[in-house]
Amino acid sequence: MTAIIDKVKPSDDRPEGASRLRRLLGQREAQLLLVLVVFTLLVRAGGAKGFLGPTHFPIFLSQVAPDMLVVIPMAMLLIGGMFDLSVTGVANLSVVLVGWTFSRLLGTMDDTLLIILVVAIGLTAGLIVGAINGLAVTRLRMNPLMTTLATWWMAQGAATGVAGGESRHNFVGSFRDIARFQPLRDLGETFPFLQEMRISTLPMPVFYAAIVIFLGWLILTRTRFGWHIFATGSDRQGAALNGVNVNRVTLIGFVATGLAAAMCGIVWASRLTSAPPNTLGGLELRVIAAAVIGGAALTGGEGSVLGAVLGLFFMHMIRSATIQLGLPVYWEFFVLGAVLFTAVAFDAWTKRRADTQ
Amino acid sequence: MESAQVKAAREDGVGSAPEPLLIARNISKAFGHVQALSNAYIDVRAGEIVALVGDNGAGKSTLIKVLSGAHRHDAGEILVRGQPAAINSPNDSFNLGIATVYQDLALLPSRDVVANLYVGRELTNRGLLDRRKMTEEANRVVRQLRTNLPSVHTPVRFLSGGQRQAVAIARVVHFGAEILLLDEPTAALGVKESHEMLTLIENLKDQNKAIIVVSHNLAHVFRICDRITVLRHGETVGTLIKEDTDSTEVVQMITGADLL
Ligand SMILES: Nc1ncnc2c1ncn2[C@@H]1O[C@H](COP(=O)(O)OP(=O)(O)OP(=O)(O)O)[C@@H](O)[C@H]1O
Ligand SMILES: [Mg+2]
Repeated sequence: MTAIIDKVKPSDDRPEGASRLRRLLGQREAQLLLVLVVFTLLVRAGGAKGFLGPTHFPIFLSQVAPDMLVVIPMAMLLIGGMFDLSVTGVANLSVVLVGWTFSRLLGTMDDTLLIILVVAIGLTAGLIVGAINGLAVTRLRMNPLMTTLATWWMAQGAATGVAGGESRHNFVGSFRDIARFQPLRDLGETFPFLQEMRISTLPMPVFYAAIVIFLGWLILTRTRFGWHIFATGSDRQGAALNGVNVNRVTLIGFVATGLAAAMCGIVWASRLTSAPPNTLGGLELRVIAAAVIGGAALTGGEGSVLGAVLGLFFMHMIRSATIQLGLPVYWEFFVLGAVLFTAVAFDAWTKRRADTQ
Repeated sequence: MESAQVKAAREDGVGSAPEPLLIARNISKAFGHVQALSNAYIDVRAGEIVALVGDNGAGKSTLIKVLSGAHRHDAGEILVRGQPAAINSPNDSFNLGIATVYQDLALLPSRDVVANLYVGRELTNRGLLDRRKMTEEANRVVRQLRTNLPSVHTPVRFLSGGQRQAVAIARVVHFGAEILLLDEPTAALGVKESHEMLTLIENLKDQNKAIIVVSHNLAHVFRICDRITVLRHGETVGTLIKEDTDSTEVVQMITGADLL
């Protein structure tokens, strides 16, 4: 953000290295990283010595991972000038559908086949809600806020409806593997350092999240489609006049977000091996806030995958720190709110400063 | 409606000169109850600048947008290089060699100059964006236009009106379109920038482009154009050859006051 201002003023007279450092420090991602490091040191100094240490960090990663699946497509949707409130409802619907199907059909077919089936059912729910959101907003030109609020309630209602007041418990079997499976476990036996660093015992969702982060970054910064997302969010009409298929961008964005929310639900169901229809709460605002803290503009056209990742880390770090420092957890939301307020105020300040240049 | 004088001018214009690159005939377009265009006509040849003039709301921008594929016309015919052309989208128009600078420029404010130059036609290499090539090309184009942009990585919202106009023009010039549609290219510019823009347009004419320029500034019109097409209430009232007319007559045609 501030880097932009530096670039506008020709900076030839400044030594190359210094200007590059200033530019780097002007990036939202770098600023946020710095904040995270300082925050970690403060929390450790404050008494939580193990905060993000070798024992805590892998656990922390597996706690962040399900949200991470959603924050990436949500950030891309925001960059494209849209947003989606329905993710919590979709995730819970997926949890319930997966739990319901799995417990009904367990034993009637091969385990692997059953897992593939329930995952497909969960993802289909996400696909359908995402497609409804996307088509409503593009074809029917419905307002995204109200549309996704409505589909949120419908999906949540369907989840509680299907659950019918009872939640499926302990549908264990091989279903745990979706979340628990540790693909690097064997590798850890061969390379002890992987075990020591607890990398080989990272559960699957961390790897799903890593894949989603990589794909998100690749698409957004290295493909035409990614630039079309930015163009659509920056000026929808201008992008369309230049031949960008803005409706396609929006539709794909909503479908991807729906699929990710469903995947998040599947991962939760697998972690808990239980499927209450209120498994996820506040997912929508958590990921939107994380993306915004990471530099995504609600008005579209700005933001990054790395920023969203760091923003989500920050939100989860605040939660962990509150617990580890033994602070009353009731205050967690106060701190989250204060962080969001600061981020938005900072954005407004950099904009104002840029405008008066 | 049409006076004999005007008719004569239109026919003279066609005369023995080469075939127009672009002809738009009997174009009509309605937005709900608003008949923005009815029976509009314009044509332009290679190496020629045609000014499109008319009052506010006369339908100039609408005609430009019909030709650029942003609006679909209800009736009428467009010929490009003598062939009937179906222009149903901005890409159709672009693929026919038509490039447009819109009145509001249609730039992406949060994106840098490179992304704005290449929006909709980004360069790729093995499926991935070729960002280095786009940056190099953007630098070359900017140098060619001799505009003083701070850096091609500056977001467009930090640029001045003249610089934005330059980016919009660069986008048009860069892709080698033969037919250029410029909707009020000098409207947002100061005296010096306007002068530079007009010189640039004249240079493009020397490169044998066919150019349609919308403008309210008759001094600018008379400085650069070869012919002047006048639109009134969505209808082409006539096309005058610059040498045969003056601004008084053009103003009369624009406002619909009686010709002497
Ligand atoms: N998208 C639209 N929807 C509805 N009406 C429109 C639209 N675009 C243009 N119009 C109407 O069509 C008529 C012609 O507008 P247009 O923008 O083509 O005029 P113009 O000659 O370019 O005027 P100006 O000199 O002010 O730019 C106007 O009455 C305008 O209100
Ligand atoms: Mg106009």
